[in-house]
Parts: sequence; C-alpha cells; structure tokens
Amino acid sequence: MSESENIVIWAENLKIGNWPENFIIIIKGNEIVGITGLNTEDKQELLKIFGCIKKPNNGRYIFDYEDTSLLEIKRLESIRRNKIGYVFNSPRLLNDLNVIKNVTLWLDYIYPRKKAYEMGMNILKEIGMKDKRHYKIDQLSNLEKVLVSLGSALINKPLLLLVDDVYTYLRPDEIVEVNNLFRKYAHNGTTIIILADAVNNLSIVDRIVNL
Amino acid sequence: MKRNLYQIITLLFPSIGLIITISLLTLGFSIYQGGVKCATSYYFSNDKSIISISSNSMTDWSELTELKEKLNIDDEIIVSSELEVSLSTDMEKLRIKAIGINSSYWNIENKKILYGRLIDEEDVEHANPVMVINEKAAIDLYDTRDVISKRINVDVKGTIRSFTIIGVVKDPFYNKEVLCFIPYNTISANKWNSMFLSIAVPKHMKNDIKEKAKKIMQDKYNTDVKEASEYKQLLFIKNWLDDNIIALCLIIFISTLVGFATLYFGFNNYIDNLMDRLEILKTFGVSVDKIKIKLFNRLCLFEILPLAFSMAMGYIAALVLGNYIFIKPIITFQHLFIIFGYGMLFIILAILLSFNRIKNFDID
Repeated sequence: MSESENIVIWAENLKIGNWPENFIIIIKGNEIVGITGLNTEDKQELLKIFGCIKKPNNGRYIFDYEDTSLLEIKRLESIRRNKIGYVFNSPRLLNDLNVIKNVTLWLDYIYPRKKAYEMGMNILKEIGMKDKRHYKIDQLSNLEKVLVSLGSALINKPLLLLVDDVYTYLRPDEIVEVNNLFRKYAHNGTTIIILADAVNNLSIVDRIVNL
Repeated sequence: MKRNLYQIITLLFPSIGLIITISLLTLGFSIYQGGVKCATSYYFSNDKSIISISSNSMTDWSELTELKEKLNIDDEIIVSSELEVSLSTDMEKLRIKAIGINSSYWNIENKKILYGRLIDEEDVEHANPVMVINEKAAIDLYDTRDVISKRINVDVKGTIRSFTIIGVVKDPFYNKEVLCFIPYNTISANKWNSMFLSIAVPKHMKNDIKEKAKKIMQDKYNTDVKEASEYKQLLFIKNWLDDNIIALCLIIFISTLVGFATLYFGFNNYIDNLMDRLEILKTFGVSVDKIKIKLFNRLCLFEILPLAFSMAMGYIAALVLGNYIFIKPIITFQHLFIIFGYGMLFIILAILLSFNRIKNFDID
C-alpha cells in the first residue's frame, strides 16, 4: 500500500481560526494528531467540518477520498454513522439511562436491538466498563464518564475518532489510562484527532498542528 | 426514573381533551346503537319491519279484524291507544293516561317489571279487566310500589269499571307521567282519544303492505301510514338530541380543539425534553427521518393507552346512562373503527405538527 493511499483527511484553506493561506492538513490512517490554538467557537467549527456534521464554507475538506462539500446530507449522515466517532469535552451522556443504554443509544436506530446490545457489551468489555453496564451516569466517576463516551464513539469501529479536549476533568493517572486506550485503537486502525487547549497532555500524539 | 415519570405525566396530562372527546363519542355511539337494537331487536331478529298507522276513527274493534283480513296478513297487529281516565281507590283519585294495548305491545316498548306480570294474550283474548301501572302511579295511588291484586276503579268518560292491578313496571328516569296499561278491548274503540296500530310484516312484504294499508286507511279513515323505527327510549334520545344537538356538537368540537392543542403542546414539550438525545443521535449520523419514524411510532403507541382508556370510559358511562333509560349500550366494530380513527387522526396531526421542532433544530 503506497503512502498516498492511506490518507484519511485532506483539508485545505478552511479559514478556521488562524488557518494560514494555502495551508493543507493531511492526516493519515492510524495517526494520532493533536490540534491546538483554537478558541471554543473555532474548535466547534472544526469539529463540525472534520466530523462531517456540516460542509465547509470555504476551502476543501476531503474525508476518506470524498469531498464533503459535494456530498448530499444523507451521504454525510452515512459517513458519520459508519466512519466517525465523537467524544465531546463534557461527555454527552443521558442521566436517565444506564451505561449500556448510553453506549448503544444511537445504534438502536441503526441495528436490531439485540445486535446493538451485543456490540455495546463488546465495547464495554474492551474499555473495562462491562461490570458497570447497569450503573446510572451520575453514579460514575469523571474517568468512567469519559470511558462511556468513548465506548459510544468507538462502538462502530470508526475510521476517525474526533476527541474534544477530554483531559480537563481527569487526574494525571486517568489521563494515562485514556491515552493508552487511544493508542490501542490507533493501533487497530482508527485515526484519532485530539483537540486540546494546551499541549501538556498531548504526549501521546504523533504530531501537533497549532492553528 | 423521575425523568421517565415526568415524561409520562407530560404526555398523559395533555391527553385529557382526547379522553373527553373519545369518551363522549363512544358514549353517544353505543347508546344510539343500543337504542336502535333495543327498539327493533325483537322484530329485527325475526326479519320484520313495523308499519305504523294512526287511526282515531275506528268505531268498533271488529274493524281491526276487518283491516287484517283486507291486508291479507297473518302477522300480528300491535295496538297502542291512548285515553285520559280517572283512577280511584279508597284513598286517592288520580287523572292518568291509560294505554290500551295487546301483548305484542311489549315487543316495541321495553319495560322492566318491578312486581307481578305484564298483560298477556289471554288477557286480551278474554278482555280481562286487568291493569299494569307504572311505579309513579303506584306511589301516587298507594304510597308503595307493591300493589299487586289491588282493585281500582277506572272512570272512562263517565262509565266506571273495576280493574285488578296485575303488574307494576319501572319508570325510566326521564318519565314524569303516571301511566296505566290495560287490554285495548276492555274499552270500546270509539272511546279512545288516539289510536296507533303497528303491523309487524316480513321485510320483503313491507312496501306492498304499506301501499295496501295506505289505500285502505285513506279511503276509509283519511289517515296516513308510516314506517315505525322508534320507541319511547329512542324518542327520548331523539328529543334530547333535537334540543341539545348544537350544545353536544359544540362540546365535542371544543374538546377536540382543546385535545388537539394540549396534545400538540404536550408533544412539543416532550420533544424539547428529548433535544439533548436527538442532538446525540444526529451527531452520530442517525437520519432525521429515522428519528421521526421511531418517535412517531413511540408516541402513537403511547397515545393508544389513553385512547383505549377513553373508549372504555365512554362505554362504562353508556352502561350507567343506559341503566336509567333502559338501553343496553352496544358498540359495533364499525363504530369502534370510526372513533379510533377519529382519535388517531388528531393524535397523528398533533405529532406531525410538533415534528417541526426536530426539522429545525441544529447540532451545536
């Protein structure tokens, strides 16, 4: 496989933050990339464009060899369903649901309930949360909340995992645990982009893009 | 748990308008259907229609036999003639409406016996001086309902005859009259103030006999014939509807509007509470159509509960009301389908309208 065939993201001239003129970001498969230097608003915008939630207003964003500015909404939805996972800064979890239901929430709309449950159990086993599958969200620690959020994002074995700075509420030992998980999934074929305010916690990344 | 309970309450509470509307419709349909069935059940099961003749000019009961012969029918003629008479006991004297009948009369006038028995064929055949009175008459005359075997004097236009009370019938709640029933032939034909003859005929012969009866009645008595479809209970409903139909329609219309509006706002509120969930789903690429379909199914299924509950409530209310007007409510599949369809229609409309919120929301 040649190097050019392994490109997951090609982004140019997106005009987000201080995006330099004619600047191109190329991210390859299995890479862990940290992006820093963006304010909250720009970070949201980048997440939306990289996550195929919206099309770029300027420039080009090519994800897995598809120019997203040319795609229909249905295709964008399909890409999000099948190829992208999201972990947000404050984990988006529903307090009235237990761990397994939070993890399989969106899969219930895609697959039969039994299959979604099986997939949920597998991912919880992988992230070490199987024993707490019936716990309510408010019974979990900050690390566990991040793990559940990760489980929900990784359940479908995505090509790209977008992580909005999850380190804020974690202790150093917990950050190490989360980074180890990132490393494991990157090794298994997932490209990971971590958006962070500071570079302190980005020791895990292969490279840092400062915008 | 608390959130689930809150969501159930926010969905159930707006269903009050729906419950009122559907209960009213179920009550109305089942009482009407029960009334029609009650009114015609005896003859309906025998595949017969009833033709009614109003005749005040009959001078002799032999004319009744003559009429039967002319119409060439073997079927029964139901007699119901009316007259104001005076009843007197040792204690009381009472002006009362006397109804002259034969035993077939009970087939079209649904009466519940409190004590004794009804007038039968033998009483009419021998013109026995027997009488059935309603409970109001019994109380007015004797201060008690159990008045079987008591003798009573009847003053018919100056002629006094003695009758024996053989039965007391229960009054429907709307009846304010004092009534007595006697065999029609105990009083001569020309003394009755009004006379109705109803002829139960096989359905396929209805038109022929009607034409024949019309000709005879017009030639001889200058009166018309009509097909009877009602009895007192139905007349009561009809009269009540005539007086209150606008109010009833208005209540159903307003409760439909209120039901629709409350459901719409209830669904909106429910969707507002789901926004964080919907946002997660949309982020992960679940299509809005899929979200809508699943939400639509869930809301429809949920609203079937109050729909079924209100239909059951309506039927129970009909049973209670029917007990007072002697109608056993009946609800047919067609009526159930219409009521259910009506309820589902405004549930679906309210759901679809509230879906605008899902269409318009954006992912933050």
